Amino acid sequence: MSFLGRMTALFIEGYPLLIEGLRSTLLLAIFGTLFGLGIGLILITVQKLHVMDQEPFFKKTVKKFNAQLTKMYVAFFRGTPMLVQAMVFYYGLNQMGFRIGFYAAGLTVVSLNTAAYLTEVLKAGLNGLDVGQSEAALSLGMTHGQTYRLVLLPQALKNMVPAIGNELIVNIKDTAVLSVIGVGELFYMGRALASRTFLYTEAFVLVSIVYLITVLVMVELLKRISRLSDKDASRLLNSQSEVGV
Amino acid sequence: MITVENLLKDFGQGPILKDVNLTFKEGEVTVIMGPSGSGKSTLLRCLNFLEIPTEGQVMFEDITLIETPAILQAVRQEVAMVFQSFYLFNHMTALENCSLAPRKVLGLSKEVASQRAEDALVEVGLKDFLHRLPKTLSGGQKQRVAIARALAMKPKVILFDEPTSALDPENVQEVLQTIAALAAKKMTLIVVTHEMGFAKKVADRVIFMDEGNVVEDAKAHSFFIAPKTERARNFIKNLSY
Repeated sequence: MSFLGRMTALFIEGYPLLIEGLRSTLLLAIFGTLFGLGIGLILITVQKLHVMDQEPFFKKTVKKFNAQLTKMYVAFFRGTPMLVQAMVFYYGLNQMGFRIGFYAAGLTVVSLNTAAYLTEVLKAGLNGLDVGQSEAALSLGMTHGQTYRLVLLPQALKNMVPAIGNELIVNIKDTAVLSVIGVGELFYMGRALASRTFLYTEAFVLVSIVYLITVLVMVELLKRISRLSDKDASRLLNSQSEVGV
Repeated sequence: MITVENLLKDFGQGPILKDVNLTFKEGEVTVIMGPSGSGKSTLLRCLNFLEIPTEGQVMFEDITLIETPAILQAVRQEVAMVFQSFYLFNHMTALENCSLAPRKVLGLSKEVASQRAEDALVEVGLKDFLHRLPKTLSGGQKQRVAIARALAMKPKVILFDEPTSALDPENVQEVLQTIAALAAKKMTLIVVTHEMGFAKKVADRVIFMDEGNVVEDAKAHSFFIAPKTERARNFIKNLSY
């Protein structure tokens, strides 16, 4: 049988496994990105809390300390491989007596990791806004909190939509490392298929193809989503009359 | 209405403002002129504490401004500001730009705030642009939205920081006319600008600054006809080339 023939046979035999793996991969990537975004929003908000000169010393110190903590968090998760994080997290928790499942551990690690990257993206997004945006908001009598929530954050988030999509795509691929703690995602299933049939090359080429197609479909979907939001803006432009000076 | 006493501002490289004392009266249109670096924008930004003075006091009516959120928020509701580069909220339509603060700061209902915002936009001649995003507007239109955003707060004073300096020449007129219309309604306006024609026509009073000092403070017509200092005479001569 030719290579292609063996691969086809393998696909016919193994597709339920691969689909199950793909399902886990997608769920981990999508929810990991969403939770990561949520955690990232909390982290950047803590990091950016406005510190005023005349606040009590204790309050100022707590704010500054928390901001430093978020920076250490980001440094840790960006500075160590997700593979190692997964090991530490899974074995560490179980050793301490917390029984935690493969999937819960995997999802947590992806979310925490994504949070670190998205915190940095959010920070860049906020720092990239003109300082005049907050001056304008403050000059209207808004509080620092309102300025952040109503003016700065929505603009930073809007600008970071492509970066969030990028993170999702990275996560589809990087969740493969969770196979080391036994999460049954796509790569894990591929490996199972390979060791069952001894068709290693065929199995991993097959898995590569599934990853590639998934990522390409996701890229296209993300493109459409961002085009949709652009269209929103141009529809707004066209529906309004051009008269008046 | 606004009183400035012994105001000194130093960003760390020598004072930008040196002991400025001024009073702004209700219903008065004041134009602040002077060369770049003379401290006129800094002075304006000290009036609503966007810049915190190094020394001295700013008083709005009977409130002395201090760096306390409650006081600053209360004063800024009454003292609006229009910036050189507009600083519209880019993710919001013109109407949303103007209704945001009335809703969130003044606590008005969505309907009342939107109505106020719409009235303000109509007042600056933008009734056909309510739902446009800032990026689809010309510079002059953006600045008029920024003026409407200030008006929607129904402030007692509006501060203008070089409102036409970032505009294409052909957009300058529409913005100046909008400001002149506010002056005609006896609003209290404090305008930092280089537009001498505007100052001559609209201002009641001209403050001329140089190197952090108020060099002249005079009725507008006497300032332009007979400036008292050599420095101001040269400045006016250069503006009218």
